[in-house]
Amino acid sequence: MTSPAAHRTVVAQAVAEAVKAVPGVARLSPGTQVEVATQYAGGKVIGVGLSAEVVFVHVVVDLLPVAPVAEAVRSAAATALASLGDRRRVEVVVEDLDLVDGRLPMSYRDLR
Amino acid sequence: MRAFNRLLGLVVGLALVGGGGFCVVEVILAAIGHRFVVIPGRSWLASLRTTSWSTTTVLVVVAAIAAVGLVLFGAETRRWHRWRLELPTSARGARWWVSSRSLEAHVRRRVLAETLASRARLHLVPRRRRWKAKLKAVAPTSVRAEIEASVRKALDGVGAPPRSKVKVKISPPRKLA
Repeated sequence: MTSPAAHRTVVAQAVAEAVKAVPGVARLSPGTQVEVATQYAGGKVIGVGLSAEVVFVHVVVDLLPVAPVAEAVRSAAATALASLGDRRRVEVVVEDLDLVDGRLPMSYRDLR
Repeated sequence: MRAFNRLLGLVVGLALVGGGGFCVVEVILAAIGHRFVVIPGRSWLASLRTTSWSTTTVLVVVAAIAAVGLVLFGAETRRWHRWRLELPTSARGARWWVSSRSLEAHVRRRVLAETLASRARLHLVPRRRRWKAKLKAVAPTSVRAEIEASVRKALDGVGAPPRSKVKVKISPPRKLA
């Protein structure tokens, strides 16, 4: 049986790994206001915040439109949570739209 | 800003701890019959006993505190720029947001890249079902429709609510002498 603190760390790391693998996610973001992170002894998982009922995921996106990427992020995080037996709701915040080399995201370049 | 807040929090915290420590020491010393050591307690006590509410200094201080309180109250009740906007979704129970500053910067870049606008400033206001985009641009007045279309295209590309309202205000560029 793992301690609640260890479980929090495992959950946050699993969500972070799943979200980072989603196409269109450039990186996890600490947010622009109070830092969004899950703290643990010796480190923190940036961009994943855990509350009693909701798991918050803050990301930087490099693909448009935003909604499908956000949905994929939510889905990936929910799957990671489900694999750990966690049924908390996932809320996604897109903190920034990242431009590659100062240009537009890939999908926008295709539209032009 | 985050570093500044943390530094300010540290300074204020240390000041409170220091002030609180002095008070504790003075109270203990007063309790065991000693005189005040650091704080000029006796003169403060005498001043409090002799100063009336109608003294000019008291009135000025009270007015200043009331003014600061009103400013803080006004700041709290004012509707500030939303820092994130909720994107529409058909997924059940799902909610997601996008940073308004980031989105405004993205749309502004699109307008500058696609039109003859030389400057642009965008403000996105979320409404219940659609957003309101207010854009101020420096550009020839003839390209208004082009700018509006560019804003719409950028908002659609991001996945903003359909039929969002776009309002464009144009200032013509100044002619060089």
